[in-house]
Amino acid sequence: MVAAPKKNMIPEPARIERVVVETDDGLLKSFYLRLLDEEAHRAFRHVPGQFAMLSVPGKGECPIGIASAPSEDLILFTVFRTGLVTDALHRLPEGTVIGLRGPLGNGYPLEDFRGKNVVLIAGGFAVTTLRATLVYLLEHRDDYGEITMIYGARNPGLLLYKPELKAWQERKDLKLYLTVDREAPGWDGLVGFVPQITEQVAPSGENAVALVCGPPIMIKFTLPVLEKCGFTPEQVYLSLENRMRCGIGLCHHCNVGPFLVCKDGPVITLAELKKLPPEY
Amino acid sequence: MLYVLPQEKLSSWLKGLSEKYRLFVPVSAEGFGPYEGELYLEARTRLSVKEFFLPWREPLLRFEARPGAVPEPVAGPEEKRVVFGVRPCDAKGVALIEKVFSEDEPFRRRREGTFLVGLMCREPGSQCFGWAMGLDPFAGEGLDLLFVEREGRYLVSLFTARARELLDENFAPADEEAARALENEREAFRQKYAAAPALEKLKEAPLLALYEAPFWEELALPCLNCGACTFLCPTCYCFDVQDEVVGGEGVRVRLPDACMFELYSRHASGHNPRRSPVARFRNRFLHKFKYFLDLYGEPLCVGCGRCIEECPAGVNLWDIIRTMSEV
Repeated sequence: MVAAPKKNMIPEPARIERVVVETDDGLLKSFYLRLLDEEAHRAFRHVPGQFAMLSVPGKGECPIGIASAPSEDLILFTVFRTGLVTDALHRLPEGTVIGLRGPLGNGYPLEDFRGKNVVLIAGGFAVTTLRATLVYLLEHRDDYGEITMIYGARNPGLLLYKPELKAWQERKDLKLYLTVDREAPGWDGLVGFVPQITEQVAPSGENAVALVCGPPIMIKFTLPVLEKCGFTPEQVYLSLENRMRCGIGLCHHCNVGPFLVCKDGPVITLAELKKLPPEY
Repeated sequence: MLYVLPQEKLSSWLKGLSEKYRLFVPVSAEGFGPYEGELYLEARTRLSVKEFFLPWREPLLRFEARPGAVPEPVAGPEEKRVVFGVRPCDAKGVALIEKVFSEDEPFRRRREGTFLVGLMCREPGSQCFGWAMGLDPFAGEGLDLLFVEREGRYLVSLFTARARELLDENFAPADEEAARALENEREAFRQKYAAAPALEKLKEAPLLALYEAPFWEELALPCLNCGACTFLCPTCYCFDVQDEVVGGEGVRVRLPDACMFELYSRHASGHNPRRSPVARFRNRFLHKFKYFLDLYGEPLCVGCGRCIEECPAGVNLWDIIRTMSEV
């Protein structure tokens, strides 16, 4: 009998090398991680869109999207403080060792997007895996057509990765539209919800794909805009999230019909999603 | 290969086995326990053999309960176990779970270290419908050996090469007459008990049509979402993971969970994709009779009837299957 590849739920120890408080409200922090085992750290390969389970002994594990690109040395997770594990994570100082299990899930099929225009649409802190995607796309700039990113937050203080956003705004080979929900002091950029801005930008669906990450309400109103722009459901990619325990297709918590977010997702086309019960 | 064991030799064989392996047998109507001479062979037990593979507690890690502690993986059990008196439906349940868990380390370790020795029921139980779910109890799915009682002796089928080590001098190769008798019995069973046409209909039914069908509210009405059916079910495999901390020591454990519970699918944000009891009820049966059926060609049910017997609200699985198949 040929031994099947081992699958287990044993996290690898990873050190928090750097913590960055991302937002004015302090609820989002970026954790830059390095696996303690040098060999394992070098061998860590992921695809933008994948996630990992972060683990704090005594508190548990939770799935978080990987915000770094594969080329970057430290593995980045930007975490919203909202539950048992994320609350514990937020209290940990730099240098603390936590557990990391991953990469898990499928990620975006970036190879298939070669030669196409790519539109990234992000709302709130769901921008994390699209940051990973954008860094990758810019590193492989010649392989892709036009790159457009629309990124909105409730207010300027809630935008993530501010130093990078500034650098990206200056690039000629990237159209970056940053928006906030309402006028705010010191903000001279776009004002309006992501669906409205998308409508104004009106990216063409011709030879293009759109990757949409954000709160359900943003997605709900963005999808019809994309349809009007000529995007078919096959050209629209979403990233699902559901409560999960194992991350490897066993515990069944995250199922959306027969689709397991952890194993078959989290990335899914709108065309595939339409075939599933709306349980996400 | 087929062997014959005289019925009066059973206990001396079991005694011999218990000296070499950890031997478990049905000890009462409740379930299995270590062999100490007692045997309950009247009917299948209330608890199935699932718990030998997905135990009530599966420790994964041990750790010091302080920030920064590096957990130690817990090595699973090494011992070899033999479980005697396993009903074919329960063994099939293990085989179904294995389709999902074949690469899971704790499951594999337990599966590889455990012999399952089956015992054919004399008669189907009053709530059983295994055959309707496509079960052929003579096929030996999930089993190493299968005992069929016949005229004062057991006809013993060998399904795995490794099970030879369980046989002792009391087992004699069966003659042709015995082999024919067993084959006849199997044929008679097949004639009498066929798989339900419902399964084929369910395979063909469009998933979203089943999901959106109007009958779920009514079917789910009596259900209390107590989860008793999921814990007793020999095929339900969902689990939860918990960090248990006592004093300065912690252990991360895997333990059975139930899709019937509100917390099962609730996000940290409070959003719950299956907030209503009906949605959770529907998910359970769609998993068993559509999602799993489509993925693996078989339903996630062996027709043991435990959920029907034990449901405090009288939910009848068979009614649900029938209603679903008529979409």
